Amino acid sequence: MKNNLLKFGLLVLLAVFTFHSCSDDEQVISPKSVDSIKITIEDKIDNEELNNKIGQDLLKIRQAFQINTTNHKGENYQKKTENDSISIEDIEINIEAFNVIENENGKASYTFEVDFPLNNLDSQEIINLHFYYDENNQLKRQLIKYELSNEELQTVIENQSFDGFWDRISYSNLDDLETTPNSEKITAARSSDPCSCKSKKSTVKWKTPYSNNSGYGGYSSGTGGSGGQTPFSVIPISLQKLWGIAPASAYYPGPNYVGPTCNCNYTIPVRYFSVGDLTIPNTNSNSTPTPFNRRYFYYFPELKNKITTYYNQVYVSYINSYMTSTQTTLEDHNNKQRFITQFFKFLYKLRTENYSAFNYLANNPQKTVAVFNFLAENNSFNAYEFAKSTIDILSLPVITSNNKIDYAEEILRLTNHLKSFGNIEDEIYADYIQSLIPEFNNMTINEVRAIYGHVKTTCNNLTIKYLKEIITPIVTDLVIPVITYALFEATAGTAVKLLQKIPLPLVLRGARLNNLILKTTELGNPGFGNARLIPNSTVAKAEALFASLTKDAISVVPAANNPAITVAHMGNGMKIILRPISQTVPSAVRVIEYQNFNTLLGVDSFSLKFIP
Amino acid sequence: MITINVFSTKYNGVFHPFGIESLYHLAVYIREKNIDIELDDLNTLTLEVFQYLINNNIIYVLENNWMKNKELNKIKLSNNDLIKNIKEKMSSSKSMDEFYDFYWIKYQNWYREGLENKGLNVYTIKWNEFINERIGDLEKWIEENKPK
Repeated sequence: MKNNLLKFGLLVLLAVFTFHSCSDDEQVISPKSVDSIKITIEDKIDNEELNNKIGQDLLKIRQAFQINTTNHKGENYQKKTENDSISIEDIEINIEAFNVIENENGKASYTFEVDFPLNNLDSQEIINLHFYYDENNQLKRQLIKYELSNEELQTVIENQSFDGFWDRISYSNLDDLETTPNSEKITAARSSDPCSCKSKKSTVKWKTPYSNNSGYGGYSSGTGGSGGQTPFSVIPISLQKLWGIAPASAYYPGPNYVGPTCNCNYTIPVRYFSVGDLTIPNTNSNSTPTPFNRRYFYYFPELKNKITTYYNQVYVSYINSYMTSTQTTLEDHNNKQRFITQFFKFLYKLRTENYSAFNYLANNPQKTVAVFNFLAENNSFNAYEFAKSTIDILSLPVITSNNKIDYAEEILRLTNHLKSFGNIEDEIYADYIQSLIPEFNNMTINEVRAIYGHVKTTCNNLTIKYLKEIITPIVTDLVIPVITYALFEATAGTAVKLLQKIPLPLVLRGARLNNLILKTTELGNPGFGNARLIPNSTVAKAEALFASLTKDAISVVPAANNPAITVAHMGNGMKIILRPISQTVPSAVRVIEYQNFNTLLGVDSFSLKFIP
Repeated sequence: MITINVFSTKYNGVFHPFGIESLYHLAVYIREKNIDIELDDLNTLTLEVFQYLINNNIIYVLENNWMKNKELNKIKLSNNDLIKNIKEKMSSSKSMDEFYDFYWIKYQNWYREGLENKGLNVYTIKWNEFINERIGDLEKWIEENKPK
């Protein structure tokens, strides 16, 4: 899996390089210089010498960046350390993903991220450990510090330039580490420290080679940090910068320079992120966000795992799919952080504006996860509005009123919500249901309640489905529960109204009519042969259903030689027939027969036999 | 030349009194059992089964206006004339669909009631199971039970 991440990262980097090597008309550098630099991201150290050095250097770095947990105010030291989860042991060198860059001469340099336990907070720094071979083929290394926030680093990546940030790059040779804390030359290794009880001072001397164009002019030979040479060659992601545009003092190769022949030890900032780097905003927007790992998810415990899963899904462009990875890129991290922040702010706002909806979510973990997934995939203002409306609808309690008006209002609310989906199938369904409302006066309260129940169920199911994926519902699927209710449960008068009101758009010849016909062949009980038996039937019910099914017929005429048979011609030889029955089913009242719908039904003839 | 044994499990659905309603439906049933059958063969087989059912007094053909007057009267034709009539119509027809308006049938009361007494009802769809468990030899049962 790590390899997938590495390939992904490599692809991104190569894409960046390719873009710039092709797009810059002012580029004066020989193309071979571009092609001759090879960057890979790897997760396994094959170089034994390097491996040993890393182990040694880790100890050295930990020592250099020692965290002083001494209680400056005289408080109990033991107590503090118990509460403090941070120790020098938390400093690690990330060997799960590191950069290998081969220069023009094929010599490799290696760059590792140094992980600090606090870098998930207000980190403004990236510290890398850079290994390279000098001209005597000796393995050298130095620490490189980029004093850049995540956002600034992303700006660098997007601009493909360190312009404006050159003075934020500094280095330190590990061999030169001093142990003189509090010296004027010593700076804080990490600029932020949220805990006032400990001071995290390092003994690392940082040198800033690119500030004020002083100290490190000329072209780097990569021999390491002494004298007037740069200790390393940062590859600004734009190669043109590499070859001397800015800062001139750092990279300018001279007016007669014709191409790269240097022994550069290139590096670029290496920074990977894990879910622990996320922060969760607090209700009070002025307070510092809480690190993800320290956050207690009181209302939504399920979000802990959900966010972890979400964070660890990394998009890999070359396979156009998501894969699981515990580490991700800055851009991906920033995108996810932005979403997480926005999502929690959405929840906080929901709690303020509509507590019952918020409470509904808190009590329905699956819905919370569905909303989370939806917003993660549809991160826009409209999506949040839709989610808000969705939660509002889902949180509506089932009403138990004896007043038909209450149901009518609720049905209007639900169906209008469906209409907001902007889907024609939903609109047809909503229009159909709304057309029934004027008939409520002639229905019993139980029938009105039943219709409301169907609408409520349909609306909730659809809403949840929409949250999960972009689907196109089939309107026939939506109306079948109402038709079924009409045929089997409603009183005759109500049933006829429900069937008669089936709108024309729902029975247009083609997909919709076919779907509806198909659904009707599942109604009732199986009969012998190609038939379904519809019990509790009346002639009026059969005729009303037939009339609705054939609203878009080419013609509806009596059979030529048997006027008691009504034939609706539906095109291509297909017919829907309404007729009495020849007493083969005792007392059957009517038959609706589908003739020549072979493609749809697989048989020449299929009958719906309406029996009392 | 296709021949059929109407009492075989493949075809014995024609004896279910709540299934087939007309000559058209009988033809549809037989075509379902012989998907690629030519129209001439289909006509022949349909007529063969139809004759068996009529000659054994299992069904009768209704007057053509039965749907209108709602009386299930027997058509006023002898069996021979009826068969002759059907044959003539078949010879000039291009599709069994043309028969939809004609030759609606009703299973004789003795037959349907006899089966109902054995437990058959409109919801009986496992016909072979019913025959095996309740009737046994259907051909023999018909011989024994049909009006003498």
